[in-house]
Amino acid sequence: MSTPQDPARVLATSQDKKELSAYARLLARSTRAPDHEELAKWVQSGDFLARLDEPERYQGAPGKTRIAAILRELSENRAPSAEAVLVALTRSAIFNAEPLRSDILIRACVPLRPAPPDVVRFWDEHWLPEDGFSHLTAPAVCDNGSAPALALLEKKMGDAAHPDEDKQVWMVTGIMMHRNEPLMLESCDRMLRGGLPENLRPLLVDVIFDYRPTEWFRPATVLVPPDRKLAGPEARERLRRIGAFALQSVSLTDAQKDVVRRVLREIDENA
Amino acid sequence: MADKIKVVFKRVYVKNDEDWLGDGEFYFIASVDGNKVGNSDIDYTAVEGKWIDLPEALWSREVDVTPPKASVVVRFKGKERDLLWDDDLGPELVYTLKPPWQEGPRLPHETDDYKLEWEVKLFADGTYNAHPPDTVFACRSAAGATVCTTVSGTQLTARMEIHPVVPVVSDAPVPVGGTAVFPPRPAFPAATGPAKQNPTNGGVPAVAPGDPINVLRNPSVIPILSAPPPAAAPAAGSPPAADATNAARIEYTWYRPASLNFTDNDARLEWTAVSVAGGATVGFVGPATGTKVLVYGKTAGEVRLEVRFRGALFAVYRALVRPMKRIACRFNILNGPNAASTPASTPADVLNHLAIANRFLRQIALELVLDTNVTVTNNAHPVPGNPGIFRINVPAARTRNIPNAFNSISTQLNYRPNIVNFAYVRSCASHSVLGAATDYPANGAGATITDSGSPSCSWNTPGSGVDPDTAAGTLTMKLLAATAAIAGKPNVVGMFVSGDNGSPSTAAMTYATTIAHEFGHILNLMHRVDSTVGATYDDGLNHPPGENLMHWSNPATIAQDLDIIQARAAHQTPLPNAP
Repeated sequence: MSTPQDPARVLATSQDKKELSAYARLLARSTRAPDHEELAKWVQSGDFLARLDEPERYQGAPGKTRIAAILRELSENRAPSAEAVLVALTRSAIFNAEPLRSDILIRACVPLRPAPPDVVRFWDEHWLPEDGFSHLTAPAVCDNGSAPALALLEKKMGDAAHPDEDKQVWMVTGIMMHRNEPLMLESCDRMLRGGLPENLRPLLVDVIFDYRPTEWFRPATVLVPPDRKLAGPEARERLRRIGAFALQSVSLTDAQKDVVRRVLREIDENA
Repeated sequence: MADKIKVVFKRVYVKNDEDWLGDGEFYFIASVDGNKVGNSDIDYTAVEGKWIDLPEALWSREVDVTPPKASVVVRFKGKERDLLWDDDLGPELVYTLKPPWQEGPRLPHETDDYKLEWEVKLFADGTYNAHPPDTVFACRSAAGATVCTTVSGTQLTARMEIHPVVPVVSDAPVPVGGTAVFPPRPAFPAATGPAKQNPTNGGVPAVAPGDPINVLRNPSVIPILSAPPPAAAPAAGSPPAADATNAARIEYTWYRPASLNFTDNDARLEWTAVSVAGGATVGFVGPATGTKVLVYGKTAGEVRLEVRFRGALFAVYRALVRPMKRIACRFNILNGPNAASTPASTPADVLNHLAIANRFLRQIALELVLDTNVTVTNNAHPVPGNPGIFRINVPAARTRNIPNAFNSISTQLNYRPNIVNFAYVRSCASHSVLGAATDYPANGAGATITDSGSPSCSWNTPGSGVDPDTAAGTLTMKLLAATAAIAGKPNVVGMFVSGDNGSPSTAAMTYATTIAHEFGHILNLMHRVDSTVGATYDDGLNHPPGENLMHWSNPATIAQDLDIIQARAAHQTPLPNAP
């Protein structure tokens, strides 16, 4: 690609997969709305997508596809027109015909805050029982952490159609990673007070106050929650409220209560 | 092996026969190291200007000069026999030989009447014949190096290593403020030539299903096998006879100077085995000499293999000796409702992955064998012609983006208790996770296990016990605790293998090492070096830095080794032997 060409022309005609990827990423990185409008046209084109990634690419990890690199550029681009491309993709039947592309899009939409309605709808549709997307979508929604996203989280956590085992996983892979964030804590507070099945509430308290990696994770992946010392005043206030409620109203063992009390003492000492 | 020299009185030149009437009759009185040499009763006709040849068989003496022998006195005196009295033929030769013993002729001993030619021969390479000047005659071990004397009397410093970790860890100098990962080597004289590394030090770049089962060198366990021919064929139920394709391959990893030019079966390097624990015994397939040997176990325990160069201890290698432990396993390929939720691996791929994984596990004398029990649950379908491999139709969630926390329903499908149940799935929600052990029992050793042998396992430093490093201490390795029991599903042992490993054919070694690594977790091994020191699943040893199969992230081409302490733990798994 020694001589810059017209990107639109390249995307329309090139059979060179590397060239297609390079020009598409160039447009994705742009700050100009026309570039994003041009790109939006092509990433929803079955012909373009077929020229970009051979079928074998969709056999492996999503990150190995060229379309993933393009969506990563869009995801990191804060220009409204770049975000609009991602939102448009959530509505694209052609783009989502390949489930691996939906996997990529689920993660690519995380930085869109507050989560636009189309994105929330897309996550909702890719968070159904036994659908093969849920364990990807749940952490993505928690990572987004905006009010609409957390409303979706609460809905799913309270949905009896999803098995308890799945919800336990979402707690430790999604909620735990954001337990210093006021909005997430507010959402957890609501779930503990009624949105979450009673049998799952002790684990949610553990996820907020405790960390038991050898119970929750296998050696292949161990997630580490954020340092409690980094919790701001608002988060600490939420923790106090949740802790007080949990000690009084959630069915905890003595050991679990001790952990809650210890954390409440620590956040007061560090305040 | 004793160091031996031979003093040879070769011939005498007659300058003056000392006889007025005709030829003289010379006779000689000689000794070497106080022992009589030759025969003074023999008279040799002495003709002026002629040589008297002395037969070597009679006029030579072999002396063992193994230290502390520090000198050998050589004496030779000539006399002329006469009717009335014998004449002295001049001063006696009295010469004291001292180390370094040197091969070759000595200055002739000359009197007014005769000149004696004599020489010293050194026994090297199995002969007293003349040797090239740099032939090593004798060696002495000293603080990690061996000081060798050549037949020309010069000395050289030499060292050989048989590192138990392959790929061999970097022996680069320790960076300032860094931690040594390689035991210190002794100082070599400046003139010492360069070292030679074994070309296999980089490990095996690609293990194939058809490679010999012993393709990985320097294993931590020598498997017990039956004696090779000419011993009788093994009885039914006995281990197979040892041969070049199944015995443990132990090879040098480094020696210096390269000019020693050791060969695979070099007779100068002699291997022996010393039992360290349990009365272990081993045998060799082929010669027990050279830079590479094939070893098989006879009696379980622990051995130290010793390599001697000209009798001096030159290198050591420690290994366990164990019978092969075979653990049953079954593979369930979980097919989702469409192509996007179906693993790409076929039963043939699975067999290849298993075969390669077993080549890695052979290092610790373990083998995964396919389950012959045909019991099925969860509507699993046996794959015709492939006992132990099944297909199960599942919802997408059981095979696509499966969770990476807690137990996994996927690995419980069609499981059989107390065998290893593998689930081949399309992907894990964390796509960097190529596989995961999800359920495993407690190890018989408990929460930790120790090893106190020398050299230390993986030559863990400092204190590797490899001269001149300090003595090996006790190493303690943490072990995984059992996973929580699953209600209504007793004794689940399982792991999943993700399609994120890549193409089942071109990335077969990645699949295989994922299997071997995760099976290591099932055997309660933690990560040998985790993402951070002290991480939840760090086994606490942190050595070698990247070459152990249980490294948390290194690829198959680097992370290949399993060491002694891991083998000790692995053989204490409660998983039963396969029938």
